[in-house]
Amino acid sequence: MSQLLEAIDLVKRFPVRVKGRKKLLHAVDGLNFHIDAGETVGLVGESGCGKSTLVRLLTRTLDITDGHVRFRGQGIGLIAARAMADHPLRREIQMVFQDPTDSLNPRYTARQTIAEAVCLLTDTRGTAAIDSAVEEAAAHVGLPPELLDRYPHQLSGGQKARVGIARAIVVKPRLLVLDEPTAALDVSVQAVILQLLDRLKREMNMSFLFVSHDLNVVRLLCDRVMVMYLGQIVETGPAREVFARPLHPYTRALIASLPGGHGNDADLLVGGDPQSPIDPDAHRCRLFGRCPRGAERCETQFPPLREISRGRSAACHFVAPTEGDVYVDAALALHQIDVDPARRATVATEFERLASMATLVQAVPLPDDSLPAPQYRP
Amino acid sequence: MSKLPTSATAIAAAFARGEVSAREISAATLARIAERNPALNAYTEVTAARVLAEADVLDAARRRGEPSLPLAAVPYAVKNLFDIAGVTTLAGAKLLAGNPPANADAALVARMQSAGGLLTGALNMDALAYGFTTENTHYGATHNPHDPMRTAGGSSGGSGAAVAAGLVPIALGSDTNGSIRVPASLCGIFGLKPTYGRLPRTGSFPFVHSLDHLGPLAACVEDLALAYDVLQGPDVADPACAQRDIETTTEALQCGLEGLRVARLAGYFDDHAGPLARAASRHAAQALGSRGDIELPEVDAARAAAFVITAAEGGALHLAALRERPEDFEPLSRERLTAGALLPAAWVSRAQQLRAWFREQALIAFCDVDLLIAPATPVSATLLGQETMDINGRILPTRPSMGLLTQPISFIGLPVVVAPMWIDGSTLPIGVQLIAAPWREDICLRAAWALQMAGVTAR
Amino acid sequence: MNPLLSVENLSLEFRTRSGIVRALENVSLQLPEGGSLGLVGESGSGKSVLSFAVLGIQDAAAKITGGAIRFAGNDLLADGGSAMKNMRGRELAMIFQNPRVALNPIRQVGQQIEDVLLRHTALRGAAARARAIECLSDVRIPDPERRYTAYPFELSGGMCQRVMIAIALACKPRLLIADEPTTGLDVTTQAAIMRLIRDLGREKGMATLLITHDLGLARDFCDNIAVMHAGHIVEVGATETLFRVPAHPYTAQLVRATPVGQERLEALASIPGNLPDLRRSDLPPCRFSERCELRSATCATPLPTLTASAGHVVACHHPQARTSS
Repeated sequence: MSQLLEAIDLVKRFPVRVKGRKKLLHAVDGLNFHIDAGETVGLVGESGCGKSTLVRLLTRTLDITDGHVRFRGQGIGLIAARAMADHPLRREIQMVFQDPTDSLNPRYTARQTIAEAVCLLTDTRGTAAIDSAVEEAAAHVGLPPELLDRYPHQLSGGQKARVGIARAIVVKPRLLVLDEPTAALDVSVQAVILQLLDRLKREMNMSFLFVSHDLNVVRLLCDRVMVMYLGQIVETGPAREVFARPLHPYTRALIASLPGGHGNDADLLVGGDPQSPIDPDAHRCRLFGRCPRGAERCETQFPPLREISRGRSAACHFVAPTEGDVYVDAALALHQIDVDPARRATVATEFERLASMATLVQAVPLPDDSLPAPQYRP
Repeated sequence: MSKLPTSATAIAAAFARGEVSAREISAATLARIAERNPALNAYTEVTAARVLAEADVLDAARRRGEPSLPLAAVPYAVKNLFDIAGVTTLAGAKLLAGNPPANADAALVARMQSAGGLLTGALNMDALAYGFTTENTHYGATHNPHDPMRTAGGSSGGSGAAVAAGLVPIALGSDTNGSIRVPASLCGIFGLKPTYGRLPRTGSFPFVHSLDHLGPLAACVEDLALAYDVLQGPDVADPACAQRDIETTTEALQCGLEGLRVARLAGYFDDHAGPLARAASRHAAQALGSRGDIELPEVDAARAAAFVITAAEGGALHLAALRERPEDFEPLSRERLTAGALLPAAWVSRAQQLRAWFREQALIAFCDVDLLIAPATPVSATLLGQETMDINGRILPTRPSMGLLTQPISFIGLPVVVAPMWIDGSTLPIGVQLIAAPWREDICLRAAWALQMAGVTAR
Repeated sequence: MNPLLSVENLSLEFRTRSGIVRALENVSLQLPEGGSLGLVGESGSGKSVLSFAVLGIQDAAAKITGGAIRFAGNDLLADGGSAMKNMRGRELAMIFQNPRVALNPIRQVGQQIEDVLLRHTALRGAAARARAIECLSDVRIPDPERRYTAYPFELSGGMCQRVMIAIALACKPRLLIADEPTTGLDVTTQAAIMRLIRDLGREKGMATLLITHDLGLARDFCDNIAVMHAGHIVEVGATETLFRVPAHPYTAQLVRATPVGQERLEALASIPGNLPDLRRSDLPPCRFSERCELRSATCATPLPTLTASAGHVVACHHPQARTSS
């Protein structure tokens, strides 16, 4: 797969004043990641972790302090946010917002909302051509044509969410950034919208950046996940695998905190407030103080994000590849089996299952003269 | 048209008496398949031309006054890992779909044909026989005839569904860790997994050489015994096949329980059985006059060893294709096969050692009893797509765990007949395993016949 | 044993210009001393209306048209609800979502706790202050003496909710009604707040009524769950029973719509249709029937009396069969 978007050492700092003194708030602090063409990447983190800032940097509605962003190989980091409205890039990266009610103009019908995007961002002109584009997009998101002439207040939450998605995909973007697209919906409609997104990503071959605080949803929809904490990525990996076997203490805490009885309470964050994002100590792990595993070393030595096993990275001194991981990676190479990173994790899980079976076998004391293979000869 | 006989025994008898032609039977069978298979998805190939041609041969032989054959005019079908001349052997896998058609029948198909059987087609299965639910990503899931929302079991799920739905009275399947017994249990029919080495595997697609068994599934014990009897006989082409004489069982059925010492397997086999399965095993024990419960040692380790050997041998068998064409594998089992290919030799060797030891323990048990009873599956048929199941409060993954109770038995190659049970209050059947010492399939079949006569195997 | 809180066949209407909204109809539930009950439903199901009715703080347009609410044996609706006023704040307490809004922005949080103590207890002066600090410490606020003087805007959302809980628990109530107490909070904070409520409930023998749209949350923290749909309670049962063998089709679909524990996106269910308009004069007896796949002609007949199987009650003509195993 080719890289659609790449961020290199991406930084955003906001000047703030604390008690009259100028300081810097480190909202996004040196991010490196990529999104492949056709890939769905989940971005998970809690309020204040910098994910909204990151979204604004990628959609180029906020100027970058430092670092680079490449889109289809071209540097786009220097496009000023002000210039973005008229930039051809605006069509390629589209957003779907959290609250379908707030993000729709109450005085526009669904048709007008979707048509506006067509007029602003494409060369399509003429009522008939625009209408046909609008109706095609509506069909794609499962919005019945008779609803197109309704105003937002005449639509249900699920229907408004569909209008928001149709507005974004009508211009056929390459990257769709979805900011908590189901957070405002009741659970009864959440499933249809998630399934719709899953279908769209396969049919339209778009890449998704799916921003959410809900790892349960990310696990089901996304290929890969990035977990952010205080402006930094602390863990990345295949979504299901990260969920099943989180490496970083913060990811473990997130999962242990989810309703529904995952993980265990020992993984929960310990008391204390998060560190301030204002001029943080560059030598200290950002989770220090809240981390149930934190040690002296974490206060004096910053843990960078590093690869733990193929396709999985974490930023923690205490995360080490398991013996199983080391063995599986080596054995796959030795057997010349090339598995893609998303599947490799499942191989490791299956291997662990087999290893636990083997352990059960080893535990049985056998007489030395046991011979293999039963053969019932006449 | 008068009502045609449906059991194999009745069909062969009616044909011998001249009351029905093979042509009539085959036409009616094809019509039934055309009507019911779309909802079941049991068949992956219907060999309509062949069944009619075989029928015409039989009808012509009868007109010439030739003696009738034991399975004359009996329609049957085979799991699609058996070679059928002119048909590509799929073994449920897209991986093999591009292979040329087989140029000869598998040994057991040839034996069915010589006994007068009419081959109606090839049946769906879990890809490469690795699975217990016949949820096949490439060829679709087979539906349970008792509830289309549920699985037919696997990996011989097509065989289970075809017989349970009355499409054919007999089907052939394979059983490496439970693949005949699980669908028999979930579909409510009889199934026989003979002693390891009893029936030749020549011309069938292998999975785990040291664990693969072939055998029949049928709707009644008489049909099961009839099929088993014609399938027996040595075959030098399968090195694991014992060079034993045919030991027919059909006549012995009437002996019933005469002189048999029966016990129920407890311990592991109760712990890993849900309430319905335990009730079935107790009910069967009572009906067969069980003398009490016995336990085998280290059954969980035995099951684990079977699991390890399966993954290792299966992975090794498909290693080349795992390298070159991973995308053509069934996603539900590909990663387990890959992991199996990576297993260290010491683990596999130890598993084989445990196997020899465990066999000795079972043989010791058979000094005191002739027949052991255990549930066949932990629960009755699960829903299609159901990822986990709850066994006595433990949440286990459905696909590998359906074989928890069958795996330790096939691990040491003991002969087993699964008999279906209908426990009061349940709308789904569940099977019990009737297990005997090596080479004593006759005992398993006699016990199954006794259960059938006691009326506990019918709804 | 008598339940601590018992709502019996409660019906409540809102008189609005566009018609009468039948917001609650024949709602019954029980909560034993020290127990925990989750009241679960989508937005608009009536769960908050019910909790407000229990507290007697409903809208002026609301009118209770039938039924009774009993608390520790007392009829809260007697004497036009004056019994309720006495109980409220002392024996019954409530916390809401969005604590920052519920707190007085220009008063120190410690003083806000003291206000409640002055109103409902005999504590005064230094004793009241000491008790307020103790309350802050009870809800695991670090450095409570210093936080006493903090204003709400100086605290994080999680800390504000802890203050809310401290206020609610200041008079040692026997029942805490927690209405979406963690909506809007981060999941790690949510986990901490929910565990705090659970642990305090156990320590102080306090019953908890948790009102939430999140079935998973109710599953983790409640002994029993009541499911609401369009002003009806459609099913009540022990939490594990309700999840393992949901009997009402709506509950079953809610369970399948919750991503927790699902392996595949395709397995996730959505519930077709919307809540019915409760102003309609032709509301069917079963308000779910118009969204229900199992609907039959009998659904137009009066709902069966909540049929019970040992604490598991369901209002449905077609309760789902138990799955066999």
